[in-house]
Amino acid sequence: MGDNIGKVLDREGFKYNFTASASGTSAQDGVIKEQDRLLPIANVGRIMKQILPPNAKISKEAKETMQESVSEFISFVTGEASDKCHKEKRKTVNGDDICWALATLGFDDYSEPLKRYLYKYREMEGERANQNKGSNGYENNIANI
Amino acid sequence: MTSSNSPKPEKKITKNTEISKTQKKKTKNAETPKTEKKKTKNAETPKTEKKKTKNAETPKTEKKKNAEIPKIEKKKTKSAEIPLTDGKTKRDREIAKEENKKKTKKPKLSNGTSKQRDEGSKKGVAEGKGEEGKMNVFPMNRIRTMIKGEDPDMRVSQEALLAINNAVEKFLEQFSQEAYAFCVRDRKKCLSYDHLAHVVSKQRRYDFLSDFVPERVKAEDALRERSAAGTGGH
Repeated sequence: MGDNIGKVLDREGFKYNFTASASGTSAQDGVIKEQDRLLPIANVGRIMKQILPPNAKISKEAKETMQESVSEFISFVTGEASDKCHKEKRKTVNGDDICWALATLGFDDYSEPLKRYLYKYREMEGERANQNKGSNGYENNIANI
Repeated sequence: MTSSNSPKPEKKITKNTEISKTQKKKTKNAETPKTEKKKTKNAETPKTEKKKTKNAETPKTEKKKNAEIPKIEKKKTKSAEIPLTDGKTKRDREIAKEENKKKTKKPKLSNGTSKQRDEGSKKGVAEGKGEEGKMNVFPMNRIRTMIKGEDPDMRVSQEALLAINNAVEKFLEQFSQEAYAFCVRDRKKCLSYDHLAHVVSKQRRYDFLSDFVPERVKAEDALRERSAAGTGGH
């Protein structure tokens, strides 16, 4: 009797180990949780509230639908951009690829403001890089002294 | 005669007594302001004493101030005397800076964003959505994981993530505005699923959502349509 109990415990332990390893592999393979597949509903609801007039109400179902729609929009646009990158034999998707994808998919009115936004962002990044270089140069000069 | 004379002096006496009473009252009234004056004088005297003490104290404080000024100057000269090339002093300063940075770190929320930044973004939106006011409406990591889920081999630059973030926000705004227009047309205050579905069915640019946001149809109508399609086919 005692031996049987020991065997059962061993089997159970083996089972648990197996399931744990399986879950680990699933995370590595890129299987995403349900909640990670969608953007946060709080953020979605906040933007909707800001856009609509203050007396407007939004049903929970509408928020959830919008959440789904937004995630679908992301996959739609990035899919188009990544196809372009594959054709051009590039591995990294850039901001310009996203702008091109938006224009291609009928969202031309988003494309132009986005280009301006990216241009400003690049300018800011350039300024930051220059500042960092300047500070590094100053430190080197002090060290030499 | 005697009887007639006797009451007269009594009256006089009473008058005298009355007069004396009134005189006493007058004297009392006259005396009271004197005492009040005395009291006020007594009250005023400590003030003058305080003034005297203040006058006595002021030169001391002035002396102290004058004494402190050269000390500060001495300190300045000391700091000037310390050579900048000292390795130890530099390191100490760097360590102190790092500690200050650690202390002033913002408390992060569960989604990786800080409260202060979020407040800033709200302000930016309220002020008219200046592009410098608000940066990221949605968490970048979430967007990255969503993209990686579709194509794990594809790399996404930070620039692309920013662009997607911005585009998603615009999409959300426009979609909700168009849906609300249908909501107003129906004379309803609450934006519902049906309004979103109506937008998807009416506008061509939202065709990619037709499978995800289909229009609701009553069972009777669906059966009627199916039967009509069946008869039309034959």
